[in-house]
Amino acid sequence: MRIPRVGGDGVWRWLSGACVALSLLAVVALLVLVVTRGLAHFWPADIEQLTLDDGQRIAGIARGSEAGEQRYFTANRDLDGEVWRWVETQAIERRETPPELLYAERRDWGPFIGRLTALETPAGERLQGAEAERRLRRALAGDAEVTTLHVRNVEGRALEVEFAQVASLSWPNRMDIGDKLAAWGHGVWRFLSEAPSDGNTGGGVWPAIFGTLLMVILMSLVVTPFGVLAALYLNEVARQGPLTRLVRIAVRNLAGVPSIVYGVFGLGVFVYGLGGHLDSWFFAERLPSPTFGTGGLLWASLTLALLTLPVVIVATEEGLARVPVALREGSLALGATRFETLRRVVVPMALPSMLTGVILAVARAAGEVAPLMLVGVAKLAPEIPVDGEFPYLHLDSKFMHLGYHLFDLGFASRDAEAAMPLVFATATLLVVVIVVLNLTAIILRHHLRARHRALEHS
Amino acid sequence: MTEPSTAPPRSNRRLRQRLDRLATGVIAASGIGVVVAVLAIGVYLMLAVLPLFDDAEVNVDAAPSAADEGAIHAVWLAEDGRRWLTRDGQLRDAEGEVATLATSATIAAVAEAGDRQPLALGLSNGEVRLVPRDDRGRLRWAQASTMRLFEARGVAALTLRHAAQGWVLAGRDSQGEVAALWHTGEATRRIAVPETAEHIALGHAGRLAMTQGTQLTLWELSPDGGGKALARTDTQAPTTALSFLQGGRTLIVGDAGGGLHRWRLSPDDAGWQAAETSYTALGDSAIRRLIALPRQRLWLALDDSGRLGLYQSLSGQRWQGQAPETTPPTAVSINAQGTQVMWLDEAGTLQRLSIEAPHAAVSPATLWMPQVYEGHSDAEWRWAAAVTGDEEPQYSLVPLAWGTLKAAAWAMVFAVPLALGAAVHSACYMSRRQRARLKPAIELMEALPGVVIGFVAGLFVAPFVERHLAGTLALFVCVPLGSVACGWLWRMLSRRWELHLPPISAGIGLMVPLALLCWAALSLSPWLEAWWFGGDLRAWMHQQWGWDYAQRNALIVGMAMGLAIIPTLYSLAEEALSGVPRPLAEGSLALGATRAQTLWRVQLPAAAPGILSAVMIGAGRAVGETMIVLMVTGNTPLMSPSLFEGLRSLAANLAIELPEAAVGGTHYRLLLLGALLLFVFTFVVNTLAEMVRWRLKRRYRRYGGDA
Amino acid sequence: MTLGALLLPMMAMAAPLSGTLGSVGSDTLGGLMTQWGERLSARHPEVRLQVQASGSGTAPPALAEGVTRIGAMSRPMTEAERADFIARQGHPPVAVPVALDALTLFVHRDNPLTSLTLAQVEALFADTRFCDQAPAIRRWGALGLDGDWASRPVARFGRNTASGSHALFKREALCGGNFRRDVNELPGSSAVVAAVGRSREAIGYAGLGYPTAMVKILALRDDQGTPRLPTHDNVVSGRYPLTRPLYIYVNLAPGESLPPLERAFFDLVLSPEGQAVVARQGFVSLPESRLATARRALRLPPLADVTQSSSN
Repeated sequence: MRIPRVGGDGVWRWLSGACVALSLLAVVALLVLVVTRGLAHFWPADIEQLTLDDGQRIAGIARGSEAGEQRYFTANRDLDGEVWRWVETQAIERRETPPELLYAERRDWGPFIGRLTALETPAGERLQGAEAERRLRRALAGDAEVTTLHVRNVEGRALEVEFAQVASLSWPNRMDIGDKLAAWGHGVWRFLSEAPSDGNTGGGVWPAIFGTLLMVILMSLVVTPFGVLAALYLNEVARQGPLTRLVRIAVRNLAGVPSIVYGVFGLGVFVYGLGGHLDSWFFAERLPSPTFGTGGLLWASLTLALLTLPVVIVATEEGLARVPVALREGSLALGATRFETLRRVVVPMALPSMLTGVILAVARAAGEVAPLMLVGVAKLAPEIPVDGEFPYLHLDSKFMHLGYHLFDLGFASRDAEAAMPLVFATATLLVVVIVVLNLTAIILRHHLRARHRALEHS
Repeated sequence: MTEPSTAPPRSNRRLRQRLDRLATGVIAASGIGVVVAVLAIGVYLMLAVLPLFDDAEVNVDAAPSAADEGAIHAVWLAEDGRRWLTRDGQLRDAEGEVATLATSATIAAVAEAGDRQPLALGLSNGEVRLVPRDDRGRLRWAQASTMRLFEARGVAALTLRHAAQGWVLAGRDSQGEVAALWHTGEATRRIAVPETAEHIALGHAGRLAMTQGTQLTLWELSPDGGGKALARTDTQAPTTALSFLQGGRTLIVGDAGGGLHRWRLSPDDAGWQAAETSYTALGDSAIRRLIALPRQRLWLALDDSGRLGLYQSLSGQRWQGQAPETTPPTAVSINAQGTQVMWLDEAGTLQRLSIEAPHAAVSPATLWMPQVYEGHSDAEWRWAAAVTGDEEPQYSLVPLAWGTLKAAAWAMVFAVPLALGAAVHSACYMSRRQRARLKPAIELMEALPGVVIGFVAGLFVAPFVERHLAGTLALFVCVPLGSVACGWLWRMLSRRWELHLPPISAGIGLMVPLALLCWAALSLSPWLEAWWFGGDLRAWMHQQWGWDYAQRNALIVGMAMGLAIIPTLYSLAEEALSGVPRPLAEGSLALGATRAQTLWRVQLPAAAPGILSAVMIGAGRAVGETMIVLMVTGNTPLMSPSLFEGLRSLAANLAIELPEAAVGGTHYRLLLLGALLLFVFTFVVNTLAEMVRWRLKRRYRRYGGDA
Repeated sequence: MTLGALLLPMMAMAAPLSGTLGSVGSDTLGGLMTQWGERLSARHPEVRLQVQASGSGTAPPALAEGVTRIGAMSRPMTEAERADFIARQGHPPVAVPVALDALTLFVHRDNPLTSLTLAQVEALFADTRFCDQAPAIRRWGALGLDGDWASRPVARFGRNTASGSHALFKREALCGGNFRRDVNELPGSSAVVAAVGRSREAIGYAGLGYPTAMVKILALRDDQGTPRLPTHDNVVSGRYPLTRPLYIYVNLAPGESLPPLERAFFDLVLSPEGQAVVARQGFVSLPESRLATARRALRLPPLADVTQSSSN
């Protein structure tokens, strides 16, 4: 549509255009910030060795600067008592990146930066120099056995590290781009597949991913049938009158009720109410240790199911309303009962919109944190609530959740600065999960609309 | 569900009909069930909140235990009411004497202070006998020790209170002379108080209140044996009873005219708060006794006509009734929860009172009106749940409601112009294809979890804005001006090279220049700041206007939450605008109106109800958003409208405090009341919006639109 | 470590422990609990610890309700909480000290201030004056800083009400008074430190184990006016004024002994290995004598022989 250019018109066009641009810009900036910071976390950065004008030596990874000072991540909490150093830029005499500097992630004291001096093998051998390094590389690949690493920091202070303590080890300064990419991929994989370690500040987020997924799956198992049934009732069974309209408005509005209110309801009714009763009926022998009388997977799923019920109902109703009346009437005219018409004609046609509703519900549930804080999410629940032990799926256990893990890392981890990249990485993951879910819903809806349009025109 | 055959024969008709009815029944049942379950949220919250406003109840046991000969001269009664001590030092129960406290004098006064402090017995020979307790709170009668309080006369009244590392005890002799003992663990020092008093009461930190007629005197005792007078004031009528409440900072004075007044220590503990506060009187007879209850700032008042009243320090009278028809109490006991009071009267009858006032601290006035809290000099709205168990809880919902509305309001200030602008742009200035591309992008925005936005805004944007405040504020000026300038430039350019430029929407086309503009504004602002504001905008703001800047403030919340509600607002407003029947706009344009005129005079007024409902729904979302407010604000329960100060919202408060609240307690129920407020607010706002939308749709249909 | 390796097969043979332990409570102890949980799983592969850490205030209701058997608290229970527990469970809870901590005051690393008196702390953070009568401090200048610091306003950060740090700070540093309403309440200790690290004018309090590169720890002046940093020695000796033990409360009826899972947990926590975690997390480990007392109270075997074998 071409816009006629008449005086005064342009201002509004450009101002309103600026609104679009600004909104999009804000989201893009947010996403870019989160994703770049999150993904950069796994990049093996070069380790710099600094010689200061007072002769001190420092090795670390540069992480930001401020008015004439640079901040280095120096690791080695056990040797230095801290992992950060501020260095005045003027005080730096020499900067180098010696290839032999290694970066090891330990399970206990966090990362170590320094040099390898010697290696002990189970056979009692003590290897040094290049041979030690070769053996270490083989051991890291799983081909050889090593018991203890003798390492020194750049100042020369020695340390023994048991090989079992090493979660990963690399020589970043020796890597070329290919190696770094591989290491980056490996880092991302470890983040996705490992359990958190070192008080949640290290390791990966696998239990949180699994917990989120499992909770969402359980939730959709509950919300789908009930949401669809409620929509069918409202749209097909109930007599259409002011009361039904009122109920419909009420249900719609529940989508706008703050999620924390659902959390309160879940805590009061599910956890303290239902859970407490379940415990006293079926698990009395375990009291006072609670089984269902405490927040857990089941209650979290139910709470979120309640929270997302309006989403599914509304979407399904929308789909049902789009089914042309002629089709229903045709089916009924051919002698089908109402149930048969529903089953054979109406529901199949509305199926994609139900699916859209469920996906939207899932996307909403995956990002909700506030209600979970009340009904069962845990800071650490390293085991996965599914195992080989009867009843295989442990509905009563607490679980980790990506969104809450993000909140916890950002607000309650031990070293807020060191955890920051991990927070960004977790945020990236959460955003990716939710964007993928939403895109699916959007694409599905797009196809569905096209199909309906075709039906209506035919 | 069973599978019906694909071509049902006629004989199956009954089965099919039955199946149909069954299915309809199942659907209806589950449908109704779901609807009911969902609506149950409101009902549950209501039920959980109602007990807050239950009337307090004091049940006087109708059948008191029969008078016991041995209880006639009781001075002390155990918590369970089964044992008592007579004034000759006999410890008795219903069966008879259990033990005897060897003493030559009679016991004239008794004082207790919880189950960690000893029991103090004032003797008629001027001595005080202290019965220690073991670590489970049981009295060790055999290990009683004796100290001398008065040389000449016997003890007539005693008061005891725990103090730093020990306890303080003050007594009055039969002539009204006052003296005190301070026990610090190592030593006990006697403090002589050169005053005469009819009634004495000990508050916290050695504050001793004394009355003589209408004179009220406050003294400060100190552990090293010293003491000094702090304040002397007059009461309206002669005092007949005196008691400090839990915490020892609030004194209740009962007078001969039946009046009950509250005196609070001033913030510096050196005198009284400006004015006494009066409570509803019981009657016109003199107050005979004040019984302060533990756990809450709650007390029982008993007057000479036998009227009994239950009062709370802030919410006032909670219950009034008649005490059992008895002679005055001689020995009173209160259980640790403060739910049961028993006394032995002069006739030796045991009276039992059960008090049910778990939420006495809550009344509409304490929730919504400013109160003068302990340690403060002015009436204020404050929210601070009790955390150490002894302090006065400050339960005003006003700062939370204020914070909620403030956050939502600032979010709307950011979101409404942006979202409406975007909606106008896409409804009026974009082609159908461009719109189809923009919509999913904005919907994706809606799906961004609050926790991600909150984290970025709280841990990244807030410190950034603090350092670049001038630049951020400059953005609000630069962006609109810049975009208009861009438009002007574009028109200049496109006149010349119209054919060479790609036909892009203003919205998308502006992204790159705006990004550059933002960057420029942020990097130029330090110079601007140095030039105009002496290098520090925040200091300048403080000097010029007295504004303080908090790192976690409403500005950041407004921006973050604005971002979160833009998509909702946009979708609804866009729906309303594009639903305006096309003939209206086309007619206007055909009559020669410009697009801007059409927009302002035709399209916007026609869509106004829809836009209003969009704004209402957006406000509903902003009010309930939890994680963003929790992570971005400092959760400071302030009452300032300032953009640069923090706030605490109801939703964030729930997330922080609900897990810690004892189930069923006042705090818990108040938090649920907060949840109920949120529920009702959003429900009402959304219902209104929905109704507006529904009417609008009907109207459009009348005009021939297709929405 | 060698100790763990020695004990592991022994214990596995004696009783293959399995099950899940739940813990509710302090956020300050959250890091410690997760580490102990990891170690517990290393000792007994079938045992898991689930940690909910939203604040000490969450532990007493959860213990009293029977929602958990173990509650981590960074402050002792109040009388009311204890009484509620007794009313519900019929016996008092057992408090096990597991580490020492100090409430630490942080400022931005550029801040030239090095120490504070307790009166100044109250004047900075409180609306009431229950300890001392110092006038409110609003500008850094009032603490003796000069130059452009003198006119800078003070921004205050602290923990939310559910936390033990909040309650203890309120009781010890404010003498039970009320916090100023503009003290930012953040739901995590590291959030407090991070916020202080990102704002030049900020001061905040949190537990000991959270320092970062962006903040500086302030010394507190004791009664004699000597500045005391919360170092290991000052905390153990109590010379640093705001020192506190961290507790784990157990629901344990008198006369009963600990169930096996809890027993294994406390055996770990109150061992040199468990206390090494304490030191590693930046807190102060319990002195031997208190460790022994705690073990005795829980009827755990004394450590004497164990300490000898692990002291290599």
